[in-house]
Amino acid sequence: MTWLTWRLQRTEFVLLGAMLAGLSGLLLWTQSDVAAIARVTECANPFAEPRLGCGVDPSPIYDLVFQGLPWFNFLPLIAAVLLALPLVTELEQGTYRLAWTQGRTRAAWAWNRLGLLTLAAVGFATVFTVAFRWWSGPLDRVYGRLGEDSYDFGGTLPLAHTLFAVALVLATGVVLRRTVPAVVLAGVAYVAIRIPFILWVRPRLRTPETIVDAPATAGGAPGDWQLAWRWRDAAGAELGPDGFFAVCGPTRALSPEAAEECARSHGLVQVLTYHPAAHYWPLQLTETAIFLAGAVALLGFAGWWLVRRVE
Amino acid sequence: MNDTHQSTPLETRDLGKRYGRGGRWALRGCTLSIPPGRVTALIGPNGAGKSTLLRLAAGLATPSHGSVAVFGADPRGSAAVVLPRIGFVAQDRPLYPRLSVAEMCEVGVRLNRGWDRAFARSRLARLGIDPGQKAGKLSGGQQAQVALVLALAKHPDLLLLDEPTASLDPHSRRAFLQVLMEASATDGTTVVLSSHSVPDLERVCDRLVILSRAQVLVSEEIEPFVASHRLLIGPRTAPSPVGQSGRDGTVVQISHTARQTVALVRTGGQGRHGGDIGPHDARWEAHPVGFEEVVLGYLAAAEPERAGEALSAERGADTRRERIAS
Repeated sequence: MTWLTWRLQRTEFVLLGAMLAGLSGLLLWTQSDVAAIARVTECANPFAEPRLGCGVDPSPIYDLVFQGLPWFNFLPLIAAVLLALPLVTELEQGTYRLAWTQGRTRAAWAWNRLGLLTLAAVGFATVFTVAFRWWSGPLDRVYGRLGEDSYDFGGTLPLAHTLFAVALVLATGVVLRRTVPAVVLAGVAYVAIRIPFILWVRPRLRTPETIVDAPATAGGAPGDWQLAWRWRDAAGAELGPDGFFAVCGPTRALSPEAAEECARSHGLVQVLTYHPAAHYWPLQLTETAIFLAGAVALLGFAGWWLVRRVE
Repeated sequence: MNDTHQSTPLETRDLGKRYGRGGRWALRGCTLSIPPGRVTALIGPNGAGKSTLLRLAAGLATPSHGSVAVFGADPRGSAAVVLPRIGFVAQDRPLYPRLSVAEMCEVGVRLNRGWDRAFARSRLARLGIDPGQKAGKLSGGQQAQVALVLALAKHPDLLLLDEPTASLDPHSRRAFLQVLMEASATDGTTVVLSSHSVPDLERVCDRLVILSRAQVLVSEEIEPFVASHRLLIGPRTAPSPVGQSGRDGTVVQISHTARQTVALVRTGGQGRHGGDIGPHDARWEAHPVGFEEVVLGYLAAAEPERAGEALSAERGADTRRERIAS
């Protein structure tokens, strides 16, 4: 059975492996740049743009990779499509009837197929996570791991996102039994889940820390994830985004000193909410648990549908 | 569950299948019993429910109503028991197109206990099929042949073939049916094969099931069944050929031309050697009929508007009928 699964998915497994190898190659190629940038950034201003005033001229490939980092968010989806496609094609073309009328039950077939896909997804995510961690390690030490250029590609999240994406493509695939609509629908659903999650759910997975009356120059420690600066009045009530202007007038009309003076005289203080670097693992593991739960539910649904509903 | 029940390869009771809630019934009220060791032809136009019946028997589909039993067991609930005993060849895409013929054999070996690799190898060699060839690159006829060999190498007790000859030219069809006959003769395999094309089936099959509009019209042994029919030809104005003078018989199908009336009649149970079949009214002539004409008569009676598309042999039967009539 495993032999058949491997044989039917071989091309896609190889493609996925090639993609991973290419990616790792790029990371390997540009790792020296990362290390150099981190080194000079560390001894200069940690909040300056890495390329400014550091005397480092990273290679164009590094620029390419660095600019491309947001696109790494699509890797779980690409891996999922490659992994799940052969099974959906089999349902679309009807060849599953051949497999289901041999000596093994379709439940055994479904376990084998879904199990191997899960293993492949775990393998892909693990290799990617290790490669990325090694690549971005020097920068992580300077900037922390909560930034958007690192957070989604480290820890346990690539694994959770990849398994979730695989389960999502499989679940839509077994129900629709047509490859193109299944991939389009699953892709849209994946993005429509991930983006709102990052924007609204992720910061709330753990209660953020607050610093009251933080000096305007403070930004928490390097590596903290700043969520918001808000004004609070003397009574402790939070002001809306326009609250400060309502009290002191447009900032542009005020010199920084005058603005500070106005704030002090009205008892206004600035409050910073942020996630400290120590929240990294609690945040990671909570999000991982949520996406893994989703993956398990979707995989279970796909298996149940395959065994009970496909005719 | 007694012995006779367990030895019946395929038995259905009031079996029905509906796709979707409130959807069309693909099969309805089907009660059948296929005896062991026989080759049964499942005949009917497209959409009559043939594929549905075979899929229900193979456990690929679940009944919406009634029950289906393969050697006394539910093919879906007891799949682990039933699957090793059946062979199934699907109508289209019976092979993985990306796999070579040799790899398809490997599938057989790995997914079945006791799969007969030597048998498959010798059959494929005899058919002149290159094991290195990709299944998707084979002609439709060769694909059907390979699919049959793969199913036979399982040495199933019940072989279910869904339109296996649909994509074959006459020569390949004959070769295919030849392989099938040999196998069923040597292994004593019970075969159920569906087809919407009648030629050749009479030679291969000894039982007949006619399906039309999701229902079973006929389920009988071919020889006595055919022998009990007559084609009656008389003047247009003559009274009905049966029901006169107390003779048993039922009109299966009746058609009129300007001057003549032609009726396919089933006589009352005398069978081939009943001799005295036919109308007493001397204006009617009785002619023996062949397998194809009987089948076509039933189908034309059941769905007159679809009779033309029902069977590819229609034309031949028509000309013969005209010949008899003139």
